[in-house]
Order: sequence, then structure tokens, then C-alpha cells
Amino acid sequence: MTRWLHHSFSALFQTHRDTTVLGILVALSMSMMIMPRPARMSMAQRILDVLYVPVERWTTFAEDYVSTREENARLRRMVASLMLERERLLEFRTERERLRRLVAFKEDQFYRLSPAEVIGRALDRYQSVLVVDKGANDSLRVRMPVFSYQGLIGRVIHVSPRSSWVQLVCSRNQPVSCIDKRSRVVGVLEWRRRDEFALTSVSAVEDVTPGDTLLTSGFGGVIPKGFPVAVVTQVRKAEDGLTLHVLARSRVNFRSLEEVFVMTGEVPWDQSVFYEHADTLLMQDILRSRK
Amino acid sequence: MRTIYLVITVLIFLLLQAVVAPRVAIGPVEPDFILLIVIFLALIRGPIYGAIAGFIIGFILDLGNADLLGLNALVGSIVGYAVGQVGARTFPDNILFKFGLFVAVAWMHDAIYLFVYHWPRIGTSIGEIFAVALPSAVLTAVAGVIADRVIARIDTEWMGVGKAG
Repeated sequence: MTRWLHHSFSALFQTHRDTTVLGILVALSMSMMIMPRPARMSMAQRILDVLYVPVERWTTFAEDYVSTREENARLRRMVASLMLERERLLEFRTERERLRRLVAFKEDQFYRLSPAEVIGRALDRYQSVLVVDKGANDSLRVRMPVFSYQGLIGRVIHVSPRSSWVQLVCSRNQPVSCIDKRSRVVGVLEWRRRDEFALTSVSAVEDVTPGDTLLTSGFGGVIPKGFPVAVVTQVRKAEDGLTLHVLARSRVNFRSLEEVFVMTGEVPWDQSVFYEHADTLLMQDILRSRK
Repeated sequence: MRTIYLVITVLIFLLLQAVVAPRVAIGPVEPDFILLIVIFLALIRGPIYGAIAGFIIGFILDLGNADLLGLNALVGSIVGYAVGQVGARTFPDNILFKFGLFVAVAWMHDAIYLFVYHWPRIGTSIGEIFAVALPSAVLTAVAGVIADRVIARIDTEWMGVGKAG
């Protein structure tokens, strides 16, 4: 039977080579078309992995190179303006410290931030968790707050020697006490969906308007005061008439976080490595530009 | 040398599809440079090569949308085969004839694609076949005639061989 099939197929291929090839290709195409959708998807995904991944790797490398150059230029501009602002703020800081000492307030501290790279994400629908590449070996501890350039993103919930899990604020049961930057109204920020939050426990007579920035209030002592969390997008009176229904949106794109900063402690301003380092960098830049 | 020339030609057509086609597009109507690759390969190398090239190129396109996996491969192999059959016969080296051939092939390609895509409600594809596929086929044919002239010139002046089509 097999021999007969082989013989017939050879004869067919010899006499009608063109149409046989076309027939095989049409049959192959149609069999792909009638495959169940999951099988089609998985087949396409597997082939894409083999075909596109090496190409993608090179493309990403090229894109990274270009974007790093652009980012470098942007960061240089940002550093220049921040350096100017820093000088002005140092003046304010000295004045503020002097006034705080006069009224016997606790001295302000500078934060020690440990940069960490995101190496994984949990896929749970209701709990957004990131895995970062720093752990107990890098002095990370449970409950430490975690930030991005745009503000607070969550806190450490589990630490292993070389990695840690960070629960993002866009998770159920992760309320953050916040204060309105403009009116100083205090409320509790709770996640609703995607990057949308609700500020609860705000009385109907309070002054909250769209566009206001919500900062961490520092209540509770875990998350320090004054870090941006979200921006108010909508304010209306709740149905009970006693409270405000305040919606806010985070400035952080939680889906594209690549590097974060874990606040590992506080140091006095004058002992901050960053400030000493910034001065050194500034001096090096000045010397380089004079050459 | 001939293979390198072929690879470079294919790469240029891919580049044209990525860069030029969206710029000259009028709404959904745009030239199909990828189809031109299949047409030229089939004209040069015959029906088997044309069908295989059409299948492979169509399959790569299908990978971008796995919901339609096999559709572009099917249409590509049929068109590659048909054009290869035409290429195997002698036909006049006339610009109008070639323009007509490119229009017919490009229109046939889109018509088969739309028929299979809308199957069994093929009535819904009729409007698109005339409103989108036909003007797209004309644009593809214009691009094809220009490309044919360029390829013929390179063949005769630089490669020292006969014309492509």
C-alpha cells in the first residue's frame, strides 16, 4: 500500500509537477485556515519566536542605542535645570532648618534610594506585583516604599536574598493616605481599575478640584510625606450629600515600569552621598567645559 | 551574483512597501509592493517557484495576524502559480500589455483574498473588490511597470542578461 502510494505520488509529481506543488501548497494553506483558533495562535507564536526573536533582538539593540542617545541628551538638559533649582532649594533648606531649630522641630532628613531593575511581573488580575533585582543582600526590607521618577508606586511585600516583590498601589486593599498639595485636604486613595483611583473619606465641604496633585501624607510612618501619587481628574458630590466622590489618575504608567527606587532609609542632608556626589559631578562638568 | 541581486531586489521591495506605500496611499487604496515580489519571481522563475514564493511570503504576512493564518499563503501560492504559467508563455514586451497583466493579477489577488475572507457572505466583498481592490490594483500596476523598466535596465546594462519579464 505504502509502495503503491509512493509510486502513484512519484508518477503524479513527474507528470504534473506544477499542479502537484500548487495542490500541496493550497492544501497546506487551507489546513492552516481550518485549524482551531488556539492551535493557529500557538503555531504562529512558536514560529514568530524562532523567526522574529533574533531579528527583534537586533532591532531592540539598535532602538536602545538611539533612544539612549536621545534620553542622554534629555537627561543632560534636565540635570542642568535641576542643578539651578537645587542651588535655590539649598538656600531654602538652610533657612527652613534654621526656622525648624528655632521652634524645636525634628530635623529634616534626606532619603536614601536604592535603584532596582524590574525583572518580573505577576499576572494576577487584582494584585499587581513586580519582582525587582534587589533583595535582603542590598538592605531591602519588607514595607519599604518604592518609587519611580513620577512618584510612589508601591511597597515591598516580600524579600529574598537577591530579589524582592513589590506590591503596586494599583492593587486591591492597598490604600494610601494622601494630602491635596494645594488645599491640604487629607483623604485615603484607593485603587479602582487600570490607572484610576478614588480619594475617599473627603467631606463634601472640602476644597478638592480637578488638576490637584495628591501627595503622600506621611501618616502611619511607613511612607514618607510629600511624594506625588496621583492627579485629581473628577470631583462630584456623592449620593449621600455628605462626602465628595473624587477620582484621580496616577502619573505612573504601571505597565511599562523598568526601573524603580526603593527607599531604604534616611540620612541627614549634609551626609547625603547624592549631594556630595552631585557637587563633585558639577565641578567635573565645569572643569571639562573650561578645557 | 544573481542570487545576491535577487535578495537585494526583494529587500528593496519590502522597503518600498514599508516606506513608500503608506505615503502614496489614498485611504485604504495603496500599491502592493509585496505582491510585486511574487509577480516578478514567478515571471522570472516559473510557476513552481512562483507558487512557493507566494506561499512563503503570504505565510510570513499571515504570522502578523494569526486569525487569518493561511489566507495570504493560499492567495499568494495561487497568484504565484498563475503568473508563473503566464510567464512560461511568450508575451509581447509591451508596456500596456504588462500594465494590463499587473492590474489583472493584483485585482485577482485581492478578489480571491476578499472572497475567502468574507466566505460564505461573499456579497459583502463585491463593494470592496471594486472600490478598493481595483484602484489598488491600478496603483500596484503603475509601480510594477516602473519597477519592470528599472529591472530591465539593470539586467541589460549592469548584469548583461535579458529582460526580467
